[in-house]
Amino acid sequence: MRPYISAFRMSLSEQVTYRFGFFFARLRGLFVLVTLFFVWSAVSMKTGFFAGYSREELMTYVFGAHILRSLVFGSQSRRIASEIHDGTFSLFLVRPVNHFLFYYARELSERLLLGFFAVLEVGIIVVFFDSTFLFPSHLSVFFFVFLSVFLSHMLYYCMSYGMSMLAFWSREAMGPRFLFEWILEFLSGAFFPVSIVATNVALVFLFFALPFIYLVFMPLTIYLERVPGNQLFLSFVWQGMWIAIVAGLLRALWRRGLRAYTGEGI
Amino acid sequence: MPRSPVLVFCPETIFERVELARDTVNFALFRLKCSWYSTVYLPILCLMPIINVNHLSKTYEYYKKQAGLWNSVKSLFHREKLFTVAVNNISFSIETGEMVGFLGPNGAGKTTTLKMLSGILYPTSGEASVLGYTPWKRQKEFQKQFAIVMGQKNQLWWDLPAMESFILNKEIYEVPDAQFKKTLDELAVLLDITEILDVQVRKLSLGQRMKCELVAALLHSPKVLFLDEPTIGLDVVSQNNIREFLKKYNREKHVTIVLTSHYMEDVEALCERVIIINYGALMYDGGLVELLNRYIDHKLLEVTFTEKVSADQLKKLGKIKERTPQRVVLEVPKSNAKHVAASMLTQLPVDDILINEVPIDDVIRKIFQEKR
Repeated sequence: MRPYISAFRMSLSEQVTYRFGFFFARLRGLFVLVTLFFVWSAVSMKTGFFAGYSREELMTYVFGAHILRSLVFGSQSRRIASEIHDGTFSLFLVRPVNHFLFYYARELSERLLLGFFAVLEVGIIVVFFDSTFLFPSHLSVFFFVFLSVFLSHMLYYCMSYGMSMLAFWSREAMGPRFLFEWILEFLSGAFFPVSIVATNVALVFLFFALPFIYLVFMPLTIYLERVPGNQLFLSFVWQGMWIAIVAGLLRALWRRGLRAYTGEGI
Repeated sequence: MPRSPVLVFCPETIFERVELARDTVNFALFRLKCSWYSTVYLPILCLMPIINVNHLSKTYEYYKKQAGLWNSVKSLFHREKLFTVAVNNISFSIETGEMVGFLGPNGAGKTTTLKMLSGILYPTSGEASVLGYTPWKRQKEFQKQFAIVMGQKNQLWWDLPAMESFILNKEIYEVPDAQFKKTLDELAVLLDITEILDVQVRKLSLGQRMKCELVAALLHSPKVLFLDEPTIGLDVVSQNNIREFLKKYNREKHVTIVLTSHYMEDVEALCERVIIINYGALMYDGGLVELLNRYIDHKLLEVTFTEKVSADQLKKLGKIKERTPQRVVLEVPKSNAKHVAASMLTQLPVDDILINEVPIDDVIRKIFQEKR
């Protein structure tokens, strides 16, 4: 466990090395948040409701999505593809360290740091625009939200790690990855509750069957107490199942990928 | 009348006897194991080469990529698969404590061989064992006993001080605190990096970075060290520092070192034995001195004159390699070198004369050209 704690600590130090880059990246995130805040405020202004959500719920969703985007979607595992291409990946193959866990430690440090700043940013916006941020009526909801966010974070990491592994076979792994991230953000509900676009039963089933909504939409829906008890259990089972499926695929990709790996660049 | 003995089936007695018998057998087996270990296994282990390579081959697959937009579009639908043999059926073994130079031109298969021996690549065929392990199985016990330094790839974290990377390696290799401190102090003094341990890696010079890379690789005291171009891009002073360090380290720690380098000075300074490969095939495996004797039948006479000497006078003595009016480099048969030097001293206005061996660079070049 100690190598991974070290990797976590070092990664944290590394991320705050370039302060300007870090603050500009946060500023960009803040602009996205403010834009979404105004868009959804305008949409719900007239009636105080939109697509079954009250104005307060919508605002809480937008703020929550901002925090979850920081906690769930990472960028550390993107490095893996470039490391496979330039041969730096070889350094992991010769050391007694688990690559998946090593990058997970790096990813976790980034997520926690950015999550902390996202909470601060949301606090600033809520105070500055005198907006509402709802809190659950039961403390137990926080536990379920925490569990759901943790599983989302794991699911995203596994998917992202798998996408990076395409670099074993193709030098153009960034293209599919860009498409994957774009689809993922849209379908996960990172910008709005995806239930708005699920206009028929088939689409609802499709959304629930695919892994995407479990990344942002589901944890936030649990937070807003819009998931009944039996569905709550089912959502955790489904999230866990997707993690197991993706992890199984990762294992297969890893084994085959290492055989295809040529260690170019060294 | 004496009673005939009665056989009593007492379960306890039977169990005791079975247990006793089992203990006896176990003890006998243990003794056998001990004696086998001390009389057979250990001596074999000591005699066994630390690196053993047997008919190792590696073929890379790649796709043909023709120039032009139309060909690029065509390649979306059909690509021609090609194969290149990087390492072709090579076999060699290296003993504990040896320092072996791995030589060959670019693309000869040196790095591919090192990659297979360190477990980065799977071979296409053949076998290899390093420290008794199959490298590409990547067992942790094996990984803790060797290290690889790649001159063109950093394991140090670019934006953090080198010390952070050392601590990370300490944790990865599970080096105890006391041993870590002792080894680090020792290496830092030997390589003169004590002052730069807390400086960001990106602010270090190339030479300082390479020294830190070496420290990072040696913190867990590996028994086998693979060095792939460790002096690449370094200035002459830094190259020399690294060489001196490696020489001393090998002598003191008895570490087995396999080195690839394009700088012949590295090989000449460090290795008594060289393995030469070209086009993936092994061309020579033996001592540096034997290499010179086997492939080179001449020496070079470098002569400076006090006045101009004509080419005709010199042609009689040997083959002219280089010539200026007052200086010449002559190629003469080894057996005749002393005699020619003596004649020159008596017949010509010689200011200075040197009898040199052919540079190792030239020898290697000759080997590569001959076997092409």
